[in-house]
Amino acid sequence: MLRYILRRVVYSVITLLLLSVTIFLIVRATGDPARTYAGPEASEEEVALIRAEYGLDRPLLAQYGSFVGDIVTGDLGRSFQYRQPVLDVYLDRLPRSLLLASLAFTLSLAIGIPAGVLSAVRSGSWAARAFRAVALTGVSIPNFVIATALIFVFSVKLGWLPTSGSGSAKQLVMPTIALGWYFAAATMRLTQSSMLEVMRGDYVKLARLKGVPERLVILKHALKNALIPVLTLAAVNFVVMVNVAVVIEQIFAWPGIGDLVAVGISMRDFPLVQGVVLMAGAMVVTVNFVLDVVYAWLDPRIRLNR
Amino acid sequence: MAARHRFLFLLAALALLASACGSSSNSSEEEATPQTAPPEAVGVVTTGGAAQATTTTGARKEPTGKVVYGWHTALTPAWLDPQDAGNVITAYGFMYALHDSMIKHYPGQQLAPSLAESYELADDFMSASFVIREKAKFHNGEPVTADDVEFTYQSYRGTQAKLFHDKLDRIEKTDARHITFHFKEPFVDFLVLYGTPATGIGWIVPKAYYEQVGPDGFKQNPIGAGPYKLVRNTSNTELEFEAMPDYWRKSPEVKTIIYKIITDDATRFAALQAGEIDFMNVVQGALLEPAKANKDISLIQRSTTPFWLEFPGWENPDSPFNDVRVRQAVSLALNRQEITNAETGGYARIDGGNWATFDLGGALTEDEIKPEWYEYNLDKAKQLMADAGYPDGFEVEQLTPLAPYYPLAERVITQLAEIGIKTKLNRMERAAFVEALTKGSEALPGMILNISGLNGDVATRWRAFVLCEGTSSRTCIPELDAKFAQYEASVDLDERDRLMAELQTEMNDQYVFVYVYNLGLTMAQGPRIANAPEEIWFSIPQFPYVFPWEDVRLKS
Repeated sequence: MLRYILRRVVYSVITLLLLSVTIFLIVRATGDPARTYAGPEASEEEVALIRAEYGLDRPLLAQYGSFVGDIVTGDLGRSFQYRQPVLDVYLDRLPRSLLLASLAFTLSLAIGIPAGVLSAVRSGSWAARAFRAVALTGVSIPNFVIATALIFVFSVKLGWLPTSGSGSAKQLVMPTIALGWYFAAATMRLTQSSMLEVMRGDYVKLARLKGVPERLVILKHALKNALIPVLTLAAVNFVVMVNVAVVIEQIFAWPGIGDLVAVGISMRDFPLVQGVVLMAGAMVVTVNFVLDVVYAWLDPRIRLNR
Repeated sequence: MAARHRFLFLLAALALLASACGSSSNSSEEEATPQTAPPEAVGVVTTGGAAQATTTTGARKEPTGKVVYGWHTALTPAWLDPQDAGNVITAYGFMYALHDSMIKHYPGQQLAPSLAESYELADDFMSASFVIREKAKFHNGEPVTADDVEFTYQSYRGTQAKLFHDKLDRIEKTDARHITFHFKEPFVDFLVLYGTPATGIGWIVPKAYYEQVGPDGFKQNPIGAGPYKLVRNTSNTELEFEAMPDYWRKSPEVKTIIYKIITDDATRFAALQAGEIDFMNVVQGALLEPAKANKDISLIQRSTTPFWLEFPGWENPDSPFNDVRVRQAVSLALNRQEITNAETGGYARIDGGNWATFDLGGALTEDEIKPEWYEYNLDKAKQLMADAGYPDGFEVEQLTPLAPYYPLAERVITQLAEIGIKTKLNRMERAAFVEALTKGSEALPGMILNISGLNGDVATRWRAFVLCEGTSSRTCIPELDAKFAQYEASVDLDERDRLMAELQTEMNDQYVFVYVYNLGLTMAQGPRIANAPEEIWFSIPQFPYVFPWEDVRLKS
C-alpha cells in the first residue's frame, strides 16, 4: 500500500509540474504581460518598470525557476490588479465559491442520482421520465440562458429574489439552481449506466434469487457499488464548480473564484490567472490522489494491478 | 482670438469670469487669494460658479438615504489610489466620490479650483502656485496641507509620472496652505495634465497616513478628501461609501452610496428594473429597446470618442494605401449613418469627421471640420479608386479591430467591398492586439479599426498615435513631426493653437486616419433619483459617469 501511495504522490507531483509549465508558457504566449497590462499608450519606461517590478525582465528559465520556488513556499505571486498576494485574493473568494459549489453539488446529486437510478430500473415510469426530463433540460439549455430566465422570472417579474450579489440566503437560490442543474444531467447519465452494469452482476442476481426485496437489492447491493464512478465524477465536478463557474458567477455577480478568473483574464492580470489555474489544477490532482488511495484501500485489486 | 479651443486659458478666463460673476463673498477665499497678482502671473483662478458650493447657508441638512450604482466593470483596488492612476477613465468613476483634486472640472466650470481655492500659472509656464482651501479635510479629519500636496506630487507613480518628475525643479511651501511648483523649463501642458483625468497627480493623498500604511495598504483602506469615505469593500465587488457632511463644497444629500459590480449587462439591467440599483452604467444592444419602453427608467445618451481606420505601412510606395485618393475613397465608401443605425440605434454622432473627440482640448471645432472628411459618396469613391489605378479594387490582407468591436468591423468590411476593397476580419484577443499595436506597422498589416480613451488633450493623443516615435504609433510623417516639435517648443498659446489646428487639418486632409463614427454610450437611472440625468451624467468633459456625487438627490 505504501509503495502504491508513493507512486501516486510521484505521479501527482509530475502532473503538477507539467501543469505549472503549461500555465507559465500559455500566459506568456498571449503576449508580453507587462505590455498588455500597461496598455498600448504606455511609454517604454512605464512598461520597463512593470517588467522589473514583476521580474519579467529576467530570462524565461530564471522566471520559471522563481515561479516554482515561490509556489513551493506558498507564494503564488502578486496580483497586478489587486496589489495583494494572489493567495490572499484567492482565499478571500474561496469560502463563497465553496458555499455555492456545495449547494450546487448537493442539488446535482439530488437530481442526478435518483434520475439515474430510476432510469436504470424503472425506465418507463412517470417518475423516471420526469427526473430525466428535468436533468436533461439542465444540460440541454446553456446555463447562462437558465440564469437569465431565472432572473427575469423571479427577480424582474415576481420580485421574489434579488438579481445578484452575495450576503443573504436568497441570493444563493438562483446561482445554485443554474449551476447545479447543469451538472445533474452528467450525474444522471453516469448513475444510469453504472447501475445497468451493476444490475447485471452475479451478486445482484444472487440477492434476487435469495428473495431479497427488489428495493433492497437496488439500494443496498446495486447502488452502493454503482456510486463509485459517480462519486469520482462528482468530486471532479465539485472542483470545477468551485474554480470555474465563470459564467454563473459573472451573471449573478457572485464574488467567487470563477468571477476572479474572468477578472484576471479581462484585466490581463497574469499572476492572478496563473495562480488561480494552478490552484484549480492542484485541487483536481489532490482530489484524484485521495480517490485513488481510497479505492486502493477499499479494493486491493487496484493497488496490486498497478 | 481665433475661434478655436483655447483650452487652457479660455477655460481659465471662464473660471475667472464665473468667479467675478458669482456671488461668492467668502471672506476666507478673498483673504487667501493674492490681492495683487505677481507680475508674471497670467491668471489667478479662484473658486466661483459651479465649483463653489451650490449652497450651504442656514442649517446643514444631514445626508439621508442610499443609492446603489450598478457598475459595469470589475474593480481593481489601484483605482482607489490616485498615486497609481493609469490612463483609464473608469478609475475616476470611483475617485470622484472618494478623493478630491487641487483642480478639476465641474459642471459649467472647467479646470476649477477644488481642494485649492485658487491657483496661478505663471505666464512663462515656469511655475504654478496654489492656495489650499481652509476647509479641505481628509476623511480622518486631518486638514489637507502643502505637505500632502508636495508628497502627492513627489511620490506619484502613475501615468506621466516621469514627465512631472523630470519637469520639476523644486517645490516651495510658504506655509501649510501655500505651495508653488517651480519647473526646470516651461510646462505649458501643466494644467491639462494636472487638472484633468489625464493623470492622478493632482488628486491629493494624506501624507502621514499613506506613509504609515504604504501603497498597498492604502489601496485596501484608502482615505481621501472627497465627498464620500469608503466604509466597506467586499472582495472588490461591492463598495459602500458614506457621506462626509463636512465636505468643503457642500454636504452630500445622500448618506450612502453602494457601488455594486455587476459586469453582466442583462443582470445589471434586471437589477435596475427590479429597483435594486438606481444608476446603471452602459445600456447597450438588445437592452436599449426595453429600456426606452420602461417609463420608470431615464436614459441619457451621448457620443464619446471616435473610432478610426488606420493603414499600417501606408508610407510604403508598394501599398495601395500610399495613394491619398485610395484612403479618401475608403472614407467616402463608409456609410456612417447605416453604421450608427445598426450599432447604436442611430443616436451616435457622425458629424465629427475628426479622429479626436470634440471635448478634448485643442480639438478642431465643428466649424473647422470639413464635410468631405465624413461624406458618404460611393460614386466619388469608385472614381477615386479608378483614378488611383484600382478600378476593380484590390485585396487587403486583413482588417483587425480592437476587441470586442467585431460587428462594427464586419460592417466596415462589407461597405469597403462596394468599392472593390476586399478583406477579411482578423479577430485578435485584446491582449495580443494591444501588444501588437506597440510593435509598429508590420505587426498588424492591412487595416486596423481603433479607438482610444486617452485623456488630456489632442496633443496627448498626438504624442501617442501620430508621432513617428509615438508609443502606439503606426505612422510616420516627418513634416508633421517637425511641426509638432514647434508646438512642443512654443510657449505662445496662439501659436500653439494655430499649429495644433494645422496639424489636425493636414492629417485629416491626408486621410491618415479615416474617421468612422463616435462611440455612443447610454446610461440609465431609476425612478428614485431626483436629478435630471443631464445634471449628473456626462456633466463634465471626458467623464461619462455620475458626478458631482454631492449633488445627487433622492426623491422624498
